[in-house]
Amino acid sequence: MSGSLGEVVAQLGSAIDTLRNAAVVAQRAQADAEEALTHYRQAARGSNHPQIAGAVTESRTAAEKAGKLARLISEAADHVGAYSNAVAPGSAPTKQPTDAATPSGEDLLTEAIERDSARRNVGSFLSTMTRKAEDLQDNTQKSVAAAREAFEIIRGPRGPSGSQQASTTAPAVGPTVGQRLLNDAPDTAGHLVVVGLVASVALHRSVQSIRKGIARLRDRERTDRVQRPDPRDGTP
Amino acid sequence: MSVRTEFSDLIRAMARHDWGMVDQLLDGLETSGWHGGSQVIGAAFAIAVNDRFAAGHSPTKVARFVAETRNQFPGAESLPTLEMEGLVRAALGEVGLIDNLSPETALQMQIVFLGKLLKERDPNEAQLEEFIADVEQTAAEYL
Repeated sequence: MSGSLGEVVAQLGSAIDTLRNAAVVAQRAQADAEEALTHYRQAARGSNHPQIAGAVTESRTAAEKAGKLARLISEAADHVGAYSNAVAPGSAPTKQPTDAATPSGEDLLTEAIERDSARRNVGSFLSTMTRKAEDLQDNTQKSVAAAREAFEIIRGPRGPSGSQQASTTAPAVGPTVGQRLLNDAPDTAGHLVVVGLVASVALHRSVQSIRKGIARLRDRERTDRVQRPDPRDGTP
Repeated sequence: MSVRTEFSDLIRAMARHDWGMVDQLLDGLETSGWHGGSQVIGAAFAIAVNDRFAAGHSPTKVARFVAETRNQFPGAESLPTLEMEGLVRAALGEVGLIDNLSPETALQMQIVFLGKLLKERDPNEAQLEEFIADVEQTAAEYL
């Protein structure tokens, strides 16, 4: 590539970068205008005031025009890129470079949609909750009592001072009997083996002792019979 | 109508774990009345829940979050699990799930969840003030 052509390509590249950045700024402006439009629409609910209606119209127009501006600038960058590639093939990227520090228009749009969705969720929840809580609002004692109970749950059991910092870790809860058995399973099994052995030895000894006792009784009975013969035997 | 500062202070005290201040504020509210409290607590809860699930939510993710909350605060066992899940999902758009929930129980659950969410976020002073400003602005629309 000759020096003069190189300079031209460099200038075209610089123009493409400037146009791409301008397109991102325009996309951001579009996202902001759309968010403003959402707020103005909420504020305009139930009002026919011309100024608020004007704000809605103007922000809608601004969002549309910013979107159009972003599209036109992107197209201009594409045209310059195509020209640059015609005079020096491969000199301009065919796709818009991604810049981690700068969110893409798509990212901005997704973010705006998520924000909008969250706002709608919060709004519908609060509308429902406000209707439900109408009676509770008037009953201060009931409301404060309910709030106190909830704060007691968060702060946990009180210490002797009556106030303490909440723990940042989950408090230790005593294990249930089932959990203790599972946790102590190896020890428990060991204990059972020992107890079983002791019991079997004890049982064996008991059986031997009982057998000896029975044998002793039989011997004594036999001795008694020999010393004192039965009168039914007919012997004198 | 603007939001009463006592309720914003209540959220500040909760975030700072200043339970003495919480008691003091509740004592004061017993005299001055609860008007506006449900909107502020509700806004704080709903905004924090939507931030928490900004990346997406499902009934399973919500159920896990509720289980974590109940595990973190053993006293929360007195609150019904399914209704807790319903309340979180209501804040995420399924408002029909709280049709039969009593306002007192809903208030308690919102405070407990707020305690959990503030602990999770652990905001610095600037973030806390930004959150409270958002809460005040949102709650003011429903007073």
